[in-house]
Amino acid sequence: MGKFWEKDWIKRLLKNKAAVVGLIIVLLLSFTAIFAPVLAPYDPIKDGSLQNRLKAPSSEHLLGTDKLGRDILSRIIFGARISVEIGVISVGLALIVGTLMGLTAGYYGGFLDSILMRIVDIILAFPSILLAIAITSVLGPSLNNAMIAVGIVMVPSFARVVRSTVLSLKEMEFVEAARAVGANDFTILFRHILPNSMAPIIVQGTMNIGTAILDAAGLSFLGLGAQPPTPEWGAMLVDARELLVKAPWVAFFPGLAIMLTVLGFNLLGDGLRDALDPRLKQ
Amino acid sequence: MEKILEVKDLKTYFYSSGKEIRAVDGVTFSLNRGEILGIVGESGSGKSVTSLSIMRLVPSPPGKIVGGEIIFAGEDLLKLSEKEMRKIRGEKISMIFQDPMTSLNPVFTIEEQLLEVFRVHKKLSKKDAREKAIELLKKVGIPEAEKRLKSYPHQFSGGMRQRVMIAMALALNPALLIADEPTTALDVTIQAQILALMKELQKEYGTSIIMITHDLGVVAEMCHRVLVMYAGRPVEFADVKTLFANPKHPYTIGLLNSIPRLNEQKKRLTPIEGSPPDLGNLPRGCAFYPRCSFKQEVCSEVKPDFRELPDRKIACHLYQGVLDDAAAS
Repeated sequence: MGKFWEKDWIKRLLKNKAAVVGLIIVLLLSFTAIFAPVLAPYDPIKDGSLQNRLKAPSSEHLLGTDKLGRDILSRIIFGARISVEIGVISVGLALIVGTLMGLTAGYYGGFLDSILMRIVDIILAFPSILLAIAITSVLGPSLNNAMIAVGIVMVPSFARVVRSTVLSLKEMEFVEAARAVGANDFTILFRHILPNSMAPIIVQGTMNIGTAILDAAGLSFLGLGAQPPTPEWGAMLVDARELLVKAPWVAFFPGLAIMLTVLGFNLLGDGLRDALDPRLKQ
Repeated sequence: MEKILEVKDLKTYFYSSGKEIRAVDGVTFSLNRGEILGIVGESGSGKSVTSLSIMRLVPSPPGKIVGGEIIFAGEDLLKLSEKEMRKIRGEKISMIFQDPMTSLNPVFTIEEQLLEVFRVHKKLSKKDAREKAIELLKKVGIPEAEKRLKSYPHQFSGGMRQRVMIAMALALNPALLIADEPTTALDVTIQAQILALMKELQKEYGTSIIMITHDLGVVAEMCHRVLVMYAGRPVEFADVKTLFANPKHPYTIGLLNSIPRLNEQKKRLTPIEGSPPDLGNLPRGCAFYPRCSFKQEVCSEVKPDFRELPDRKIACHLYQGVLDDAAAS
């Protein structure tokens, strides 16, 4: 066991320029989210005044102000907190449920497999944003419900990835060897199969955080996610819609934040896939 | 001699797309304590399925043990619950697999995998288990055992990994060790080392071994008795000396003729003509009939029974007369 940064896959990841860009974006985002109160020049909600409304970017308000006179930079900085929270919680939810489904379906096969995978097929048959809209309309519009909805929508991607790795792993001789020393199903699943499927799960998780943030922003934009005055990036775009010509900065900067964040997670996810599974690249 | 294992009329069938495939069909043999039994046959003859049946590890579906008895230390393994069976696996009966490259989990160190055996069977404290693990690694000839415990499988060569597998298999001092082609994936010099090690440990621990192989050289070197299998059925079961000196079943004769000999000047080997039959579509009579050079009319019609001769058991119509004489006298 070498030091963490001496591991082969870390070395491969750091050699990949796109992945490093993604990693930097993700680290910046996390840093911003953690230190938001320190970094933001104004309070994202309270520091508005109508005299200040729709000011173009200036030295006082670097990214301008919105129609209630609130500082857009501060709102974006605090919005990073919400986005990271959405990404981590909804993906975490999807990862746990999807992985358990995939493990069970792949390992036991047969009837259980058919049932679980047909559920996955049904979820996949809906366009993801439409399904998320349906779920939030049932649960009621709020940020928490948006996270649950986005989580449910992403369960199938984890279930499928995990199931396919389990299908190949369970035929491996070390699994049979574990059974031959008397290990039970639980031990085999969680000690032998799961640790060997971590690479695809990590890759899928990273990529999905970007999608989750995008989906949640979409829900907020439609009024089903974060409610005003929460500084959520998607919700910020709603107000900006009718001001696109008059005050383009109100829409431009939250949009840019969403785009960069999703790009960052996707680049990092791609890089991780190449780094964790070098066979794919050759 | 005390019998440690007795397999009687074992039948393991596989069912796929409505077809019944008789992978093991009526296998009978016994194994004494401290004895090494070789099971030989070509690919698909049912050797591995026999061993998996003893471990009750036949993948199901599609496989199923449909009949017979496996008496191990006085108990019929086929009557045990899955939970009781798990207690036997690894502790009373353990197994070594063919390919040491894939039989160790790549994400765990050797230590974690060796300790798993003790953990599963809740035998020892962590400290004692570690000491035992080091002792085992030393025993199977791995230098610097303390240091090597922290290594991952990919840092070991094939021969070393097979040594680790042997250490794992012997960890709880099982009464029976099943080795499924333990040297097939290794190169020749390593093969000899591994076989020597197994023989040495077998003497020391008094473990009974079932050696599954298609290498008659391994059988001659290692085993006390041999079971020859063909198309899922036993064809000849005898003492290793008897079998090599005086093979009786046409298939055994064919097998022995197809090995090259150092003292012979012949240029070409004598293979057995034809290929093994499709297990889903066996001939009505003897499965070896189409390839047999001693075939008679009866062979295409009636399956020969696996019957006892004075010095062996055999399933062949050629010896039916001998059997009848023996019965008459």
